[in-house]
Amino acid sequence: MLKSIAGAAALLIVVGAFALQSKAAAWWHRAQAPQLQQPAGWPQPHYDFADNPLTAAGFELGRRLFYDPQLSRDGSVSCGSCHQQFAAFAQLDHRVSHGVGGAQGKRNAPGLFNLAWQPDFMWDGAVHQLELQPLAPLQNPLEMDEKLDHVLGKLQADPTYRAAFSAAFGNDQVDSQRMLRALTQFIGTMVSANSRYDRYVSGSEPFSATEVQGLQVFRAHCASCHSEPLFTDFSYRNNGLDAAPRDPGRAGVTEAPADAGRFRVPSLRNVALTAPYMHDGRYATLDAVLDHYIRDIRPSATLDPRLAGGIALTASERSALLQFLDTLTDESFVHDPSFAERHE
Amino acid sequence: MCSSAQSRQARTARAPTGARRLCSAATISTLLLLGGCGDRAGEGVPVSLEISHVVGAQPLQIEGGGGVVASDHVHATAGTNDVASTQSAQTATGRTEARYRRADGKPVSITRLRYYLSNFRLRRAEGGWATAASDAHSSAGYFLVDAAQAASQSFEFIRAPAGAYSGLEFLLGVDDARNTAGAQTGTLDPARGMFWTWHSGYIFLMLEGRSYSSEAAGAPHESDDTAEARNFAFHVGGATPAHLSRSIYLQFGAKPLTLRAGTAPSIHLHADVGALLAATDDLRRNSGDDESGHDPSGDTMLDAQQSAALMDAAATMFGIDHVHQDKAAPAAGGAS
Repeated sequence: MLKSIAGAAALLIVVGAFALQSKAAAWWHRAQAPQLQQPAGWPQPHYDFADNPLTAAGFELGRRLFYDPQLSRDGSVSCGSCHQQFAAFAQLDHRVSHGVGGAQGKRNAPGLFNLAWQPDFMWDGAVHQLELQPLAPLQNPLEMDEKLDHVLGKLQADPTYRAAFSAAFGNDQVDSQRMLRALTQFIGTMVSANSRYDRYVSGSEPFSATEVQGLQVFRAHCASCHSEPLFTDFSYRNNGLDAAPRDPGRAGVTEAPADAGRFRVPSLRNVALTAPYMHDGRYATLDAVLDHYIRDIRPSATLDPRLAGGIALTASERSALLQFLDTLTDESFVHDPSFAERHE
Repeated sequence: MCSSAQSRQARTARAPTGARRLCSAATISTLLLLGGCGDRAGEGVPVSLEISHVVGAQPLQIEGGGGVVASDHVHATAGTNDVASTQSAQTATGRTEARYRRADGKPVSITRLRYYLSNFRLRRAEGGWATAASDAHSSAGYFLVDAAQAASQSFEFIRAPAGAYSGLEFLLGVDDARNTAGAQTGTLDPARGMFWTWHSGYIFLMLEGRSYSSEAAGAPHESDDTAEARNFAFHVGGATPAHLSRSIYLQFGAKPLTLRAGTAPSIHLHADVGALLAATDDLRRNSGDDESGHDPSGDTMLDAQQSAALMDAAATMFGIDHVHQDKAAPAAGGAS
């Protein structure tokens, strides 16, 4: 009798283990440390995770912080408010970011991906290190309008946050370095490298004839600044938006007159998702952007010489280029559940 | 000597696990942590710095009451600058009102003076340097001096081998490597309020105060927001465009500093803020701020030239007042 009970119990354990297997596998996957993968043909990342070792708990803490409106003064705005995953972490339909109390920012919220390869941040390159980037919107009065020490106080007061810091860093000390490094583990591992373009380049998926033509047009007219594979050369350029720029752009950082009206060349990956366009979000559609490059270039002393006179495109080249830009959308990135807000 | 503020810094400065274990095993005193938990932790003669802020011959007074620095051994010679100390008065609330007179006769008071000192080293009499230990994983070796916080003005900055030394060198500000590094801890924690978030880089020097349009110097004003009082703020630093840190070398003069085992010498510096105030006067004149009725205020970002002028002036503040050469090392506390 005793023996048969024991046997049944053993059987139950075995059956239970099988039943749990799929769930266990999912759990195991989640608990695995995230990794920053360097896609084939890409340069070395600029940010080095050696000083900020990636862990599942650090990444999870980063995700929680990214989506937590407590990071804003009145608890109304999180990083995720202006960086929406379905828009490749740009903000759909907002020319400029909207902050606490209805404040309007000065510039368009850029998409967030491949940040580990980016040498400096913001439209004017005013921030030099990925870990420090979140401080800019956090303390900007027109965005989250918070103070770093206040945020740390709120996190410190929350036992679930202390537990999360403990899981990520070994003890429950809450400090700015840990907060910023956790955020960096989250935003720094957002890699977008699985668009149709990538699959075409790797030979795993064909392009249509029009898309091939569009890629050729792109390489002939756009790729000198929007260089593959990251689709930016990380330079600062004046692309002829205004004859007399209202926003000094890069010159606000360097104080060099030669930098007046220059802004960071943005990556064109996921460009079909990141409307509106330009540092001030003035163009709502890619059509309008191409109109600008074809016939609206405004000359000025700092205009990029390659854009003088505009880019001459035939109607067929233009439509092929637009089709090609669509191939830069990375559906798996914008649907990756590991970067999504978690409602638990 | 080991002030409470310094102990706090040492506790919050995090070293990587391995290094921390090494630290706690090797040292007991938080002073050693401050001195740098590196290969040389615990070795050499500990040398401390004490800074007295003065204006001319008088101790600097920080308006708001927090920073009246009592010092019995400041013998600073009167500066050649044109900012003269006037007088201080006690308001009805008991708060100290310190006022200085600018070159144009208008009174000013200082509400905040903070700055970074780093990269300390001592010049050997026979040539070469003894360099303070630093650690990429902590802010050891980076000191945030606050004229309103007595504890921040006194710290051990090096452990150096016994011998004779002819001079002291340090950086006013933060070096480029740290200025462009990632999130830091301790004195370099951006939560200390000495970091620009929208234009990354440390604020090397922060001078804030009030200027008064009235010529009646010394008359205590009624409240902070009287029409005649105007706040000013000069924040200098950042990583771009210019390299604004300033290297300062001070000679011990005829009598070199001699470090002997078992002693804990202390170098007493005076920092004459008058030179800095005079420089802000020049800025106002050159920018026409006084004529337009606007002082720079708020989180002021000066242009590169103005910033350089202020840092040049700030670099002239420091001088060696005297040295306590044979101060005995504390018996307890883990000094080896």
